Amino acid sequence: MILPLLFLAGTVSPGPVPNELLATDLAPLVKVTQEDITEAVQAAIDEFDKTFSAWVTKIRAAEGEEERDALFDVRPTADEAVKKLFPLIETEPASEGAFLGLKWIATRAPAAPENKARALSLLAEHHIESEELKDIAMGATRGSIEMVPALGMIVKNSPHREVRGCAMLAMGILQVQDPESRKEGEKMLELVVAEYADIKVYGDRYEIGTMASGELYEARNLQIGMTVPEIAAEDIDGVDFKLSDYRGKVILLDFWGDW
Amino acid sequence: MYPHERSLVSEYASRPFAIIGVNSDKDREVLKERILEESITWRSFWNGGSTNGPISTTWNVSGWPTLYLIDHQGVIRHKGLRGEELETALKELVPEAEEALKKSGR
Repeated sequence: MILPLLFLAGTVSPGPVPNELLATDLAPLVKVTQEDITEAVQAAIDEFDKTFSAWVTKIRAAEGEEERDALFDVRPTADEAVKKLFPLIETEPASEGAFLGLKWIATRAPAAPENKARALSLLAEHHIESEELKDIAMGATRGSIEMVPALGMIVKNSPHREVRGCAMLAMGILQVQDPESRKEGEKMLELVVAEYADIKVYGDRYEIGTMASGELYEARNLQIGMTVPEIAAEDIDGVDFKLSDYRGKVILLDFWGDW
Repeated sequence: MYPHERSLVSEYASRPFAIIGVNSDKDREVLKERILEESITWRSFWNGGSTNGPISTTWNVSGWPTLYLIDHQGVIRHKGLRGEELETALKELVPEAEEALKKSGR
């Protein structure tokens, strides 16, 4: 029924079908679907949160390490919920409910990397105007290499400079961690340092230029198999010493604090 | 962390192994007291009184504690090892260091 009506709606002359019919037949269909999505998405998130907190409660109540380890092996994932949500979201991917669901899948939901990447692609395709993609891109810095194509779309198409900068940072971080795309990742991070360094994230506490520089330093100097960079500074009593003073010994270098 | 580190220090007391810290506490005097209380015998660099200090910033440290295991030649061999995995890695690396010491002593 929908297709012929849509076809008629698009033609110059409505022909034999009266306008009243178009309005009454089409409107409820669209409206109900969007509401359905919002409702289903909210229900799925609530349901998952409930399952997850039940699991956390069990972990807290667990007696002994063995029981705790066993529980960690059955950590709830959101993949079942996600599988049900995708077909629904894809009927109206540009709707508000779809956005809510896609954001949840791409960021908070513990779902398989390919599901998170798919959600991010749909966001890039249907919600490219959203400024919320900034936070979503920052979430992707802890994501997986599968997210890189979607981040690339965001970098290319977002109208917001802050969104583009953060998507570049996420792309760079994910790429430098993967031996096959390390060089591209370094280039991306250099671009962040050169052109987007001033963008503030995490409640304005960090600038992405500093973050990108740190990632570049780590990629170039702190990988397994590399000779450790020198540290020369004072100790807690104010006496200077160097990491290389301990060459010849195995060193456990421990960044710690007594909090 | 402290009990595990203390036991590593005593386990490898006479062998080529050292824990080196990069400490990010705010107050040196408070820290010195805690070091006595907790019998922390290993030496630490002072990170300028903050988790955003110069050493941890350069090293891109965002989680605490962050651990690197470095062999006797100064090569990074492991990142982020804990517990049993750390023990296993030390059982491999410390004898390597001893072997190298023996050879250079000849």
